[in-house]
Amino acid sequence: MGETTDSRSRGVLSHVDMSDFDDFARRELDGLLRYATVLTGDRELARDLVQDVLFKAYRRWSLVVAADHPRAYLRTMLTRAHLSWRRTWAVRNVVLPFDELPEGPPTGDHAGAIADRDAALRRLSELPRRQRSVLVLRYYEHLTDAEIADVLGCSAVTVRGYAARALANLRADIAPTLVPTNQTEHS
Amino acid sequence: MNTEDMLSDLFAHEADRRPDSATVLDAVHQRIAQRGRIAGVRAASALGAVATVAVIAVSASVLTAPSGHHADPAGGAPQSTPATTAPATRTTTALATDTSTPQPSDPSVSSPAGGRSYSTINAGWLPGPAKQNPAGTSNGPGFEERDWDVTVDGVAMDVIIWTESGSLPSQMQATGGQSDYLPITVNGHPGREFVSANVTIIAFDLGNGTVAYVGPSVQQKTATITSARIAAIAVKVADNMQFNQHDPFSGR
Repeated sequence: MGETTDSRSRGVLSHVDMSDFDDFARRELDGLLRYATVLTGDRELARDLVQDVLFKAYRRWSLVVAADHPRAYLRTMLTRAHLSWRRTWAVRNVVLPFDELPEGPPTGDHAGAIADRDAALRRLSELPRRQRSVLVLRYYEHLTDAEIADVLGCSAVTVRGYAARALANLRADIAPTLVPTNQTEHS
Repeated sequence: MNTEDMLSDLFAHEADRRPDSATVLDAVHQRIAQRGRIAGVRAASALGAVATVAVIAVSASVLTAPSGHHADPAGGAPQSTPATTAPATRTTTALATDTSTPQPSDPSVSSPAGGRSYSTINAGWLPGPAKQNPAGTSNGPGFEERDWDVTVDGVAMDVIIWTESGSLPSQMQATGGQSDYLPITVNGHPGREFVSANVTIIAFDLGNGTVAYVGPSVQQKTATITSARIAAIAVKVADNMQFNQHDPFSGR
């Protein structure tokens, strides 16, 4: 294979070491979980993914703290772990959006907007992982195409290709609600 | 609504559905604690097997560590001479086996049931007083790792070495994820050197489906611990990596 993930383990030698890791984890955890949930579209998968990546980060702790941008380092680990994830989460039960609303299916003035959003979420969930990842990195993490290319280990041209296909897939189903944006280089 | 606004709104909505942080951190702590227990069991098994070897062996050379850098509790300077069984030259294979050290196939070596009693990798040279991290020792199918805290010119350096099944990487996350590397050769093995400010990682292909890695790193550089120095240390450790060797006795 062309790329292997770097790996390292670091035992906890002192209270200070664990304290450093814990401080970092507590500070970053909510952001990582938010990102992982958006990336995967699945809370349980996001939980598993973040647990795995944090454990790896603990094992590679000296490399994490030596990195120029530890937070970005972890985001990259998360993204690549997600893209190589072999678990078929399609076997999970898909939670229907309406099931999450304690008051039952929406009615009234907001029903249409919620229905549109749920339709868009469904389409997002059906996107191939790389396409979805590109959209998340662009519209949630607000990375440039070059930065997305670094995360995914591909070229910026490839990133734009993924983005274009993803957006086309989304518009195909919910076109009336979308206005195409300028698809020139995202920088 | 334009596409960007819609996606931003959707993703913000999704992000709010994230799982609870506290339960995730608890689960991570449990995995760390579990790993520590497993490492402790392995260490105890390895020491048990080594003690058995010490009773059986009659040659003093059996009790001599391949090179004198490891686990020096007195914190003295390590021996700078390379291992006698694997001279630090690029023309000599780093895979040479120390015949004075009991080999895994030696019937006099007792192995704990269901486990191995020897390590596979062993840094032949470290640049300063070193203390091995026992919890950073890992032996498993397709993956082995060792970890040392080394003091170099008063600076704390972490030196990790590991072997992993696979092929040479084209990128290393720890050095920024960039794909620029320097092709090098380590003891005749093709390799790649990835360098960033505080970390150098050298990967070299052992030719048997395994890649060996060396990764010294510091949290802060100094006037003498420069990026170039870190890279030079990585090369030196890579040159002196040994395989199929027993770990030294604890305290040596």
